[in-house]
Amino acid sequence: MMTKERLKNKGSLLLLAVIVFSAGLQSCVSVKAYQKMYLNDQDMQLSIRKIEIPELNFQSYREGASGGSKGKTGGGCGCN
Amino acid sequence: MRLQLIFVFFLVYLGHTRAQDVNTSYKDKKQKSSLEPDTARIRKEVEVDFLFSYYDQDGNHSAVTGGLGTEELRDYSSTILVNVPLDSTSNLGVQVGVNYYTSASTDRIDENMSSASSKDQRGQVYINYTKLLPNKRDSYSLNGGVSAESDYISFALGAAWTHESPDKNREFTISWQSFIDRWLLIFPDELRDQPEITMVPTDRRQSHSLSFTYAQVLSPRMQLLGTLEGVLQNGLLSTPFHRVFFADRELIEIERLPEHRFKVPIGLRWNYFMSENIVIRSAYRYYWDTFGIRAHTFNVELPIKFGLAFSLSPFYRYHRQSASRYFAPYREHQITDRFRTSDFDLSRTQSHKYGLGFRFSPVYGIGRFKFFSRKKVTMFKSLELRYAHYDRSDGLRANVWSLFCGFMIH
Repeated sequence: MMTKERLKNKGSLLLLAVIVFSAGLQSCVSVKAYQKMYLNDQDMQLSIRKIEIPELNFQSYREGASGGSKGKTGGGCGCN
Repeated sequence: MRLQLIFVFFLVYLGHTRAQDVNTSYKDKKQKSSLEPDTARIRKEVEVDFLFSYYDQDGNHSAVTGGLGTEELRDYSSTILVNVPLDSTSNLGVQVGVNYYTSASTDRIDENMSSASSKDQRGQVYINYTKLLPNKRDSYSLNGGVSAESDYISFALGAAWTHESPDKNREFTISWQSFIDRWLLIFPDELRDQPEITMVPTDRRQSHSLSFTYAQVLSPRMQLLGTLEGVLQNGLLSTPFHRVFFADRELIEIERLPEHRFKVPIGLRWNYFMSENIVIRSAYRYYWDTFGIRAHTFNVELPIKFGLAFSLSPFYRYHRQSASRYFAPYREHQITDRFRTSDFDLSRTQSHKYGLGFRFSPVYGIGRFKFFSRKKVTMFKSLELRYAHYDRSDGLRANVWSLFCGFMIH
């Protein structure tokens, strides 16, 4: 039962990755600099915004999982 | 599973309905790449930002008291972020921060309430240098820093290399970051005269991470970023003053965890400018580590613009993780367990975070004055306020208030 459940989870993850990757490739177009008015909007930036830093810090302490979002992955004990 | 399917349908639907109606009469004034990570951008003006936050939490599963006891904590932090262009191709960033916190759980390290361990301060300084190479497509950055609190000191060192495609629609970054940390070993009061229980192999901890990031513009309104990261930790990964109680013995021990941990987070960010005034910012992360934790995290934020100056951003984040194989709640460990922890941060949990952000950022700034320099004009360019509420399935509740003030010196 456990193995079936694991395989099911792995399968759904793989499906997710394939669909996202395919959607990304299909959507790819060459965008000129003068067409980037929306992409250059500050809400479209792909990096973490500075105001999110305090939340990233506490999440990295309160959850066993951290990283993958350009947040802090070490340093500081977070022991309280 | 249901969450993953919703996310897939969400992506497919938006992928098919993506807008191509670009207003080409609007010229890109800045000509910068929206793909560049914030730290790698070469700025032309001095930027000075102030970030303040207030955090409070409460729960009843403190690891200091073996998985049962108050987790009440308040944290006040102030950070100054300064970015100075050294010339047209290089940039120096400095971040200085101070935290002050009070913690009811660390107050239980000894029997005296409101003792020295009930509060602490943390100071941190980080410096970042970024250089754009002559081909204008490659850049590198170096960073270093230190953070210190009464029982812990951490040194940081890192480097990154970024390569951008000629049309600035694709970008690849490889980055390395290391933290070299050292504990001042403090044990629970009642165990300090029992060296056979408090013996730990080292007082040091190292964390090394290597990450690969690929960013791609998908359309004039959509872009994607994928991150694959490997993090290796060595040394004292447990906390010396965390207690563990046993099911079969009236005995108190300290937390014990392996000296090595390997983590692999895989992240995906996807942003879409859906209409003239609504943006979708979304992110998903899968996490795996050698402590046995597997996690899924999904985040969505919907900035809604009111004119050119105001925006409101409701957001929601869901996190689900499995328990570490070394975790057991209060009084459920067996004396034969070689590694043990009752820290609920490593338990099987789900969490929901939701809140609202507000930004006021007029095109020509909120105000101008001469404050930082007599010769130069300082522009108060943006003001942001953000509130987040966090609910964890074990009963932990937290609130975070953040205030950001951005200035630019001409």
